[in-house]
Amino acid sequence: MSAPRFVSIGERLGPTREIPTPEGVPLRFALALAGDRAGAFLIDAFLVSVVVFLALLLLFLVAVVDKAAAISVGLVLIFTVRNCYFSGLEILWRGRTIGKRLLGLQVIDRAGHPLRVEAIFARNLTREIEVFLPLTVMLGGETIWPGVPPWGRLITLLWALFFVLFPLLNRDRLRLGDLLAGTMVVRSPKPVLLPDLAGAPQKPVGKGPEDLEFSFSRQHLEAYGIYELQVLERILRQNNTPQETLRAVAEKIAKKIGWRELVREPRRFLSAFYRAQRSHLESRMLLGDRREDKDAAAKARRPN
Amino acid sequence: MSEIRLRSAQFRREREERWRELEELLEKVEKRGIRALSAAELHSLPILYRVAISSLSVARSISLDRNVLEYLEGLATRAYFCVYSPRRRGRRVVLEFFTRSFPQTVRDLKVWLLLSIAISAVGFFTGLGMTRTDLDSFYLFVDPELAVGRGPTSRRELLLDVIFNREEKNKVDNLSAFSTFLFTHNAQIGLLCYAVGVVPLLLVGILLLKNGMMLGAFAALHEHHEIGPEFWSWILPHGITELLAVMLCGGAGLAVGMAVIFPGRRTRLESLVTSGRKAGTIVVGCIGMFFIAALIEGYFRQLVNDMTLRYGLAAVTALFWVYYFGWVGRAEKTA
Repeated sequence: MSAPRFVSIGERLGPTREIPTPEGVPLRFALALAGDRAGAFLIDAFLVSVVVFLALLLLFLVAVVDKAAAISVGLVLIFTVRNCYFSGLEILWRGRTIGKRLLGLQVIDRAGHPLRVEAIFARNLTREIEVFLPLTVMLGGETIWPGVPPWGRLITLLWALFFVLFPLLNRDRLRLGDLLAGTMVVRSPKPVLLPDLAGAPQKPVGKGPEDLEFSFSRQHLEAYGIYELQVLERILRQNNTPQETLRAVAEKIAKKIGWRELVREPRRFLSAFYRAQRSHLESRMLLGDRREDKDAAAKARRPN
Repeated sequence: MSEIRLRSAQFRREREERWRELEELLEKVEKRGIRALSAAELHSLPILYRVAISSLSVARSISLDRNVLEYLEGLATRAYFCVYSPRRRGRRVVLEFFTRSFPQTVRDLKVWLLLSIAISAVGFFTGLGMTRTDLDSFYLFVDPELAVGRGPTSRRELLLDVIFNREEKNKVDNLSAFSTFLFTHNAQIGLLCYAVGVVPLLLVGILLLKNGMMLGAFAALHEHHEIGPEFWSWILPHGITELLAVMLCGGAGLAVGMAVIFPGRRTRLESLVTSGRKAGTIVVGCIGMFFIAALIEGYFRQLVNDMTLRYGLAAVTALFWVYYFGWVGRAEKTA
């Protein structure tokens, strides 16, 4: 099983958190999305119930022989599987369960320390209280709350609802267990290194390098900022972008930057422009002039 | 030559090979563990990690290639976890937990443990006193379901039947199921104690008080029939372990609650995290204790009806826990 390979170029990542490393370079983490976390939990919960169900099925076969032993083993089993699954896997796989692996999530220490066993216990035990306990009361409350009245079930429903929604109510998307254990859940994608678009320019047979064909002046490159550059990067990296889209993009850019010549081959024009634009913005950035988007670029063009 | 030479492209060309090398190592470690690496690879892992993290730092300031930035971010993160948080092995974790973390944490929180014992004791004596003066107040403290038919109206013989397993019909059928029922039941009460400590502190006190009162009421009931020692021989063998575990959970709940209300010099969140982790450790350890208690309750108590033996086991468990929480793991601190 491998984590999904995200190639999320140009996609906005949502809120991120930084963690300092001993090397002095902070690492940046994107917080897990609420939907991903719910999905991971549902997958895990499903797996736990499948395991319990299979085990119980096996026990029913045994129960024909020895009923008392079967019941006792069954009760211990449900409790143990539920409690060991999350903690056990998170200890073994460094903060990942099967559900988290499938959705590319990981539990990390909020301060960037190694994830401690105590923290894993604390965050998973709290789940017992957040989800399983209210669930038990709602479904079969008699064992832990003899003669549970209807309002008791309502309270536990509200209780569960509060804790399920709790991650949406704070900045770091912490579950109560995360809050208590000092952990947080982040996305851990494995991006693939793609060829550099600004590497050696292509030289098709019979033509000169693109840079000779298109030479952009400084005025041409003042229109856009980093955001637009990276959107263009995404468009160029998609192999299946239809020719019409490329043409439309190229024409739009040509109009915006005041490019007068006719654009015959949009892809060649766009990659030449990408290279020139990136070179320009990178050298501005080195001089301390970081232009996030076209508005920042416009401001830089006309000071005050 | 009017070709544009990008600093960031050059930068990438020079380092790409090492990034890929690191990626391969990480792939190996993540799939088959750190042992899959040869000595030379193991040696190069931290070096390559530093290459990656310094590349990331440089790339952030000179490169606008989003793919490279994201790639390096992911690579450095994976390598960071690989280098700084080594994977633990299952058996070692369990052993270390029970020989060090658990008893050490209990000693750390001994003030709260004492408080929860005190609350339980207050409950116990209230229950005892009130049931002594008025036998009918028994029902104030005990759920009829847990009393299994025992109450102020029960005859002495019936109470003794329960204590010495004379009821043939209950004996064999329920033997093991009963112990496991109590195991999950009590473990859940422990968890509940820890949970309500997190939410409102007062409830832990009430829960502990109630538990103590119940015990007191039972004690008074049996005293009334002049079978006090018999009753204690029934409770204590497993009760010492079980009540201790309930009080430990209560103590953990109290510690968490107090950490939120009185965080001291730290922020509330920091203080919550420290006590939360400790409490988690204690609760996991207590589940182990409930397990032991349920074994004693389910098997030993059903099979052994001799009072001396029962008191003997009670004494052994008491001494064991005193030794365990007093001395085990004192020398080494967990890393």
